[in-house]
This record gives sequence, C-alpha cells and structure tokens, in this order.
Amino acid sequence: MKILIVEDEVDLISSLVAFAEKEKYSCDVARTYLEATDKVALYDYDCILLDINLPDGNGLNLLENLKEVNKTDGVIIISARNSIDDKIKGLNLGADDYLTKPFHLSELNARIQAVIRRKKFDTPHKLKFADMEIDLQQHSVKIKNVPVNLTKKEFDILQQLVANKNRVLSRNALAEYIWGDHVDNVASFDFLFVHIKNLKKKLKQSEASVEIKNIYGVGYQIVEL
Amino acid sequence: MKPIKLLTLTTRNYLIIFSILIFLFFAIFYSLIRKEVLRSSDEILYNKMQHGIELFKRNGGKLSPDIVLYSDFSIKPTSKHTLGDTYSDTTLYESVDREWDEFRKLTSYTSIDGKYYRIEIVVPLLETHEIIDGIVQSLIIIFIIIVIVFYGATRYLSRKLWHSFYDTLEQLNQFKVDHPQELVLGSSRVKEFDLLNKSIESLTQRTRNAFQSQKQFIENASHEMQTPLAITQSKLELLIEDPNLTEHQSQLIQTLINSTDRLTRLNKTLQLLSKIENQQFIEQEQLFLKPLIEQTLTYFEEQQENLQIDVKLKIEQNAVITANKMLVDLLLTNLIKNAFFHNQPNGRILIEASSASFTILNTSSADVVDGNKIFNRFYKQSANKESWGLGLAIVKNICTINQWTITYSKKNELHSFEVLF
Repeated sequence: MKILIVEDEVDLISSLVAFAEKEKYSCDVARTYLEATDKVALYDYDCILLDINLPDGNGLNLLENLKEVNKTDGVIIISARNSIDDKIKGLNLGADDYLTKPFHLSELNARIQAVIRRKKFDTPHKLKFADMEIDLQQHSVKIKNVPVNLTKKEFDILQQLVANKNRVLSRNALAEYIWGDHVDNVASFDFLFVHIKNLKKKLKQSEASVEIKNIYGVGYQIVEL
Repeated sequence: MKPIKLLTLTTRNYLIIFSILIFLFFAIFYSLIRKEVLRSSDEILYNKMQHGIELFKRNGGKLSPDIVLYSDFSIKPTSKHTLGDTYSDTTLYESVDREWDEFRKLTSYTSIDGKYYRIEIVVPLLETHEIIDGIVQSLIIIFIIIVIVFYGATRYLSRKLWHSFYDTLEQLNQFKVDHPQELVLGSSRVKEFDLLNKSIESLTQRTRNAFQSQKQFIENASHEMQTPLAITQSKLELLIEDPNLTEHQSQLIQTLINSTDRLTRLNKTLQLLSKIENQQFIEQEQLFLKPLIEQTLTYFEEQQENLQIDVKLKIEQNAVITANKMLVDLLLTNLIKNAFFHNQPNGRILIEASSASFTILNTSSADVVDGNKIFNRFYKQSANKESWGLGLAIVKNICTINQWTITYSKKNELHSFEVLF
C-alpha cells in the first residue's frame, strides 16, 4: 500500500509518516506543489493525502493534473480551510474525501481504508479481524459465522476499533466518531464506557477470539487473542 | 413623551404664532377703525350742533320748526353754566321695538340772552357697528383662507423639502451592518441633507469595515489555529500508542488531549458561526422534520436514559420545511442538546413540530433565564466548563438568515424555545 503525503508543515508530516509506518503503508512526502506533480507523474499511489494550501500553488490543480493523465489515485484533501466551496470543488475534481484540520489519526485511517477499498474493489464492504467479519453495508457482524446482535453505537465502536486495530484509539476520537460534536467530553466518556462494557460482554458471549483493551483510560485497542 | 413629527410640530408652532399675530392685528385694527369711525360721526354731530345752535339763536331762543325735524335734538334750560362739548356713548330706550339702542351723543352748552341751555344731540351708532362688523367679517374670511393656504403650502413644501431626509431615514432603518451591500444614499439638492447623507454614508462604511475586519479576524485567527491544533492532536495520538507509557504519563496525556479537544471544538464552532453569517450554506431542499428530529434524538439516548428524562414528541407526520439541511440539523441539534443538558433528573422534554413551527419545552434546574441575553455569544447560565454559550448563538444566527423568528419563554415551569418558520 503506497501513499503520498502532500503537505508543507514539517511537524504534521512527521506525524503522518509515523502514522503511515504504523499502518505498514510505504509513504512518500512532497512538500511543494512542484514536488507533488513530479511524484504523481512518476509513481502510482493508492492514496494521496493532499493539503490544498501549498507554498507554490493550489493543491486542487494537482487533481486536475491527475484527471488529465487519467490517473485513478485515491485522493483525500486535508485542508485547514473549512470552506464548503473548496470541498465541493475538490470533490467535483475527483477527490474521494475531504478532511478538515485538525483531525483524529484514527479518522484519517478509516477514510484511507475506505478509499483504498473503493479503489481495489476487493470485498468492498467487509472488514475482517480474527474470527470476526464486519459488513459495512449491512451494518452486521458475524463471529465464527454466527450473526451477533449489536446496537448501532456498539457497531460503530467495533468497526472503528477494527479499522484502527494497529493503534490505540483515543477515547476522544471514538466519542467524536459516535456523537460528533453533539456531546460534551465528560459525559460522553461515561456513555462510551457503558457501550464498550456491553460490547465486551457480547463479544465474550459469542466467544470471539478478540479482546478490547483499555489503555490506562486514555484509549482502547482491539487485539487478537 | 411621544415624539411628534417635525412637520406637525412646525405647522403647529406656526399656527400658534399666526393666531397670536392675527389676534393682535385684530385688536389694533379694530380700535383704529373704531376711533376713525367715531371721529367722523362726532364731526357730523358737531356740524349738526353748530347748525342747530345757530338756528336756535336766530329764532331768539325758540325752537324753530326746522329744529323739530331733528327728532334727536333736545334743548333744556340749565342753571349751571359749563363750557365745552362732551362726546359720549349712550343707550336710549326705543319704545317701538322696546329695545335699548346705542347712540353717540354730543352735549353742548350755549347762552342766549343770559340764559343757559344745555343742548344734546344724538346719532345712532348702528352705521359704525355695521362698518366695523363688515370689516371684521371680511378679515376673518381672509384669515381663514390664509390659514388654509398656509397650512397646505407648508405641508406640501415641507414634504417635498424633507423628502430626501425621510428617504435617508428609511434606508438607514433598513441598514444592516452585516449586509453585503453597502449603504448608498445618493445626493440631495438640499445642501444640509446632502452633507448628512455623505456623513451617514461614511459612518456606515466605517461601521461595516470595523464589522468586516472583526469577522475577518475571527475567521483568520481560527483558521491559523487549525494547523497547530492538527499537529498537537496528531502528536498526542501518537504518544498514547507508546507501549512504555506509565499510568501517570497517560493521565497527563489525557488532560492534554481533552484540552486540545476543547480548543478544536471552540475553533470549529467559531468557524461555523462565521460561515453561517457569511451565508455559505446556500443549497435548499425539502426537509421532513420527523426523521430529522428522531435522528438527532439518538445522539442523546444515553443522556435521556441517564437522567430518566421523559421525552414526548408531537410531530405532524408530514411536517416539511424548505431550508439548508446542515443548518436545520444544527438548529435541531443545538436546541435539543440545550433541552437535555439543562434538564434535571426525571425531567421532561416535549417537542412539537409542524410545517409552520418547531417548539421544544423542557424542565430545568435553572429557574430564571435572561431571555434577552440567552442568544448572546459566550452567554453562560451554567457553570459547565464544557459549554461556551455558543449553541444558542448559532441557533439565533440560523433563524436570522432564514428569516425565522425564535422566542424563548417560560411557562408552567417549562422552558420553551419556539421557532416560527
């Protein structure tokens, strides 16, 4: 899996590179628009993380370049400009997704996976982990081929955990994924705790060979037993 | 005191001054005319008197037949001798129509052959009165005509004259500091009004500029915060993956993550407010309220369960409005969130919706809420550190740009927000 990070902020690049390594992606970095066009012309990427505010040009032009040469690299725009115009323009130009800074790495990860799934057409709507199979379209979970009854929120949590199986998912990122900006932190942590407790119970009842680990109260990680 | 229209005030004052002047004019005119008329009637009396005395003397103290003709001529002997003539007003009883009539009387004294006589002669004042009455009547008619013409002319001219002023006033009334169009008042033929228009134009322009730069500042500041926030957040998330972290370190990181989260949310909310104000949510569509409200409520299921809140819905099955989906989502979410977060254990929430209105009522631990300030930015009723008091400001903004009205009230222990679409 190969991704290209087009970004001019060094500190953010280092975060993204560390993140990519953890996910076992091989990654290239372009810090200017020119560099990015060169790299895009030379290589094929599964996913390009594209900042549109670059020192020497607008990242949106890169999308036009890709279109011209009929390249089908997946593109996720990462922008500080939370502008609807940019978003519409970007998506019209063929970007697959639009993420506004700041974002959770887990959120970015889920989106990259979605883009790659779409591009590869292989089991497009299914996530597999240990003896679990998650159908993203049907919103259903099977453990050892037996359907498990989960609430919508439990399903969302499980899906997000599996998508980020290689990393620790912060409670904040998880809460935001489930409730958006609607619920305040303090309350949502308690609610999250209850949902995860129920989810753990259901996984145990189904004798799933996975476990949701609590990392010092900071976050959660799903691991194979 | 209720303000009076300038035109009414001017006209009224002019009319008062006019009336006083006319009254004075009447008084002076009346007395002058009267004096003049009396003078001429006195002259007639005098001439008659001289004539009568002469005849009297010529006849040697007897009343001549000619004198008898003067029915108003009387001669009486008198013992007392007083010299000089006296003019006076008098009334005499007229036996025919039994009325007292006004007369002008001249009393004179003369002596014939050592005998003294007092001679009186009268003329009716009737003529004098008629003249004066006639003059006064025509003056009153003239006065009325003048008043009507003056009143009409003043109103007409003033209206014409002040027209551009009222125009300016009207436009100023419509002026909104956040409107994309700047205020153009045009020029006036009246120099003062022209000057006024120019001053207002430059004043509103400066206000607009100040407002714009303030808005720009919020936009830019929150925009510039995004990248550093992204860096901080990503580094913290990488940090929690470090397997060598101690529990203590993890707790420290958690507080950092929470603070960053709050900053991020504040940042997002401020940007959202800017975007709503800039009217960046243009696309409109038909939205069915029932599914939207039910969807929103799922975010608060836990809250509902936790506080055992009784939620009742009275939503018309096909309540539909035309608006931007994102804005309506935000509106509903913020109002519903507000109802949950200020609620109390075992409280109630009642949501009513139709195509014309949306009402949410809730019990609350807070008893008094200032309805004027409640929609202000950063107005907080509770001491909750997680809230900034921006939710209702967003709601208000959404209502404003959609030209909906929102009102807060408290009835029967229930806090109520009502939106009229």
